[in-house]
Amino acid sequence: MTRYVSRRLLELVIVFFGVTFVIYCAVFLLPGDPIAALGGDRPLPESVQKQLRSRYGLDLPIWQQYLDYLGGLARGDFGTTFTGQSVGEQMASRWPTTIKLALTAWSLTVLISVALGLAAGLRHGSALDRSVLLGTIVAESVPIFVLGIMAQYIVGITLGWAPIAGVDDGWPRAYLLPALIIAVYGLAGVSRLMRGSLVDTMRSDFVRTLRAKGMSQGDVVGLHVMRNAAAPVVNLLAIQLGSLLGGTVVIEAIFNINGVGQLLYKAIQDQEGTLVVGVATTLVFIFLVTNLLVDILSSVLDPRIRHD
Amino acid sequence: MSAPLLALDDLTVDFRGRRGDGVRAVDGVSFEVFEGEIVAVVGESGSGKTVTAMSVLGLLPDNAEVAGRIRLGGEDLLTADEKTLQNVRGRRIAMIFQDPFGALDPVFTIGFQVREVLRKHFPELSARDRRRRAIDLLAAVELREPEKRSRSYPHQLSGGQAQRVVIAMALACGPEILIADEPTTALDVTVQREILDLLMRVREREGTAVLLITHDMGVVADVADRVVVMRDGRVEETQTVERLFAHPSAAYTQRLLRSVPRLDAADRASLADDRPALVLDDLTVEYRQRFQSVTAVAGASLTVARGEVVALVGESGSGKTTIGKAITGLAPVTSGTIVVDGMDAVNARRRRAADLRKKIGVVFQNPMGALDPRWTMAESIGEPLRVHRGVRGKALKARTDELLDAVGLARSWSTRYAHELSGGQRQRVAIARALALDPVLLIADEPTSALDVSVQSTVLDLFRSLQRELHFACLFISHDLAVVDSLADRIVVMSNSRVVEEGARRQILLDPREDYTRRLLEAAPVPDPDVQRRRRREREKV
Repeated sequence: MTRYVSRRLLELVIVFFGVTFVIYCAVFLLPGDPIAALGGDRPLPESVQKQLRSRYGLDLPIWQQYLDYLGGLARGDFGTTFTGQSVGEQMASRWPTTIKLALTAWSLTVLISVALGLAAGLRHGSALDRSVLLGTIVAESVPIFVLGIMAQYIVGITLGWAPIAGVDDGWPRAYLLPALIIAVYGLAGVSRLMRGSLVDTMRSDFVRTLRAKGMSQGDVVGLHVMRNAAAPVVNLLAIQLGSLLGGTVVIEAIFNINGVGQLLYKAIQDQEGTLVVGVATTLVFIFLVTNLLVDILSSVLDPRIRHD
Repeated sequence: MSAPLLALDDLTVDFRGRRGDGVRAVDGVSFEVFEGEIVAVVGESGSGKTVTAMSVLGLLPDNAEVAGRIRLGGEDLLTADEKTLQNVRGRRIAMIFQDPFGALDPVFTIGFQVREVLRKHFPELSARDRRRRAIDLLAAVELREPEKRSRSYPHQLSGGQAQRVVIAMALACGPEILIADEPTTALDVTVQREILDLLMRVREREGTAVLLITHDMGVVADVADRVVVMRDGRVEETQTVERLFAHPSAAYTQRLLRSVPRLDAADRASLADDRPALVLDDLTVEYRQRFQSVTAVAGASLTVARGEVVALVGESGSGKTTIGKAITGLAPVTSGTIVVDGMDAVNARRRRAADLRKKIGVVFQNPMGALDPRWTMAESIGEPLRVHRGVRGKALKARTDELLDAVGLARSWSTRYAHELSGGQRQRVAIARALALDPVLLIADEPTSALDVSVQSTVLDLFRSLQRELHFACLFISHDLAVVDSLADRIVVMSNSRVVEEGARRQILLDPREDYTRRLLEAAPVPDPDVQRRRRREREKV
């Protein structure tokens, strides 16, 4: 197990450097000149532009810029934006909001979709099974902004149960509604996978053995079938958590939540390379760590993975 | 005689279809099992033997409708509620299954799975007692290092070890009856030998009655006291084992016994001539995986002459299938040579490799897996002709019809799909496809082991007559010595990646030189209760 984890950690480090380098190149080698753009319609004098370029290291070759950036990262310094603000501070004010939102949304996905998948899987072919399938597909087919705005209107304005903008009300009041809207989009995939995995596992021979041993349906499903069926679902859920953390832009915009999604969106618009790279780097890091945790969790769930 | 332990009385099982139509799987079956008795239920696939066994424990799927009576002692199991049944299952009647790996949950240790059944039926035992009891059970089924093994996961065991664990689980609560559904079918003969011996010892020690479901007449002759022969859901006859083999009364039983291949090493002429069709010289196959390599075949040499049938026998993992794969270019050859009809098969590239493939036909064990389910039989059989010879249209139709005639299928079958055929018919199609290009060499990898005995015997007859007619050389890979006896001219025995012995068929079967070959021959069950009893006595003396 220790060997497995250390091998995965090594892989994680390699992937981290590879991906951040690609992102760095993609941001800074793309056409468009952030320094020239700083001046707006009236271009800055050549000498000022030159000075700014050398201050931000933009005149250095790309690999050297990247190494300088890594050096900063090692000291916990994400760099500064072209307007002189610290990237680290900017993110520090945004990440907690996004993490709260993403984790709330993700927990709702887990709860609802596992429950739906379980219900549909244990009664597959029934009316309940078919309505779960149909319901989740319908919910997923409505564009997220339509659903978001409808929810704001009905739950927020007509019923007055939840605020429709900002996070001033704090967790959970301000987060539940947007999180629920996000969760709806994970439901179809996860609950269907859960259902399929459950149905497949219920057909395995060992379920028959367990019943022949005199185990009750509860023992069989609750312990054996669930653990066997969990592996693929856990994997999908992890990928979802990763993409939730970076991909709540639309919902953040609709509910006027100052999260990382908004920050990233604005940074790209303003050609704030350092900020884009900073957000991307933290995202990559979170993604890799969740994946590692999931792989370790799957290997705990299924011993066959440990020995490959 | 005292009252029976288990009595099935006029048991009938119907499976309801989606649209209200039903299939009767078991039709008026009655038989009894007495204390300490081994009753074998034999029959071919579809005879209803497994459904009968499952209905005893109430483990049939929801769409099954069961009628009749199943009495265990004074209790009727068919009218019992789920709670009562749960207390019977594993406690009074335990079950072991055909595929030991499938029968174990892959994600829990085997120790846990044995303890679990103890916890269910003996909740008063402490965790420590359970642990000790589980290890005792694993020791009782002769698993080595039971303490260490109890922490293993199923995938870390061999098939024989896994089946021992399943048996330990079944014996955990000291059941009165053990239902064993094809318990040794998925195992090698020497492992089968060990498991059957173990079951016999358990019966002696604990007095457990065994209801043995099997299709193997050799196994029946070996262990059963009484035999119930089933066909199409009905009981054909119920007899003591001696009477059944000596004087079968039902016509079906007589036919069934006739089609069981027997190892008699009869004299027979060979069609072999002295031109070699296949020469393997010092062949080594290694599978490399990161830092380690697994040797699947080590320095194997053999030849097959034109018109000759050479059997490659051995147990699973012996490397016999890998040799077949190496010849067809599907396994990595590390050293040594393979020459097919004068052509080097190891270093063949592109055109040469294509030429080589025309010379080799292959038939696999599972005909369902070997045929494309979306193709008609004519398309499957015609494929080699289209690919290698560019035959099209009328010529192709004429040749596929000829091939269908050759394997004894009606020409009208050419438009059918694999799922519309029975197992034997599918294997005939696979043989027709393998012979489409008039191959010099036919590689047949366990072509009849997935088939029922009566079907097996017709496929073997077909195979023999085709070989006589077409004179192809054949490498016949098999674990079944009786089948090998009925086909082969020479026999090559493999064990642990090596060729341990080779020679003429009669020499190997009647006068084997190597210990391993002798063990293999002794382990193969013979459909004769007297012979089996004698062998068992001899083994017990040792």
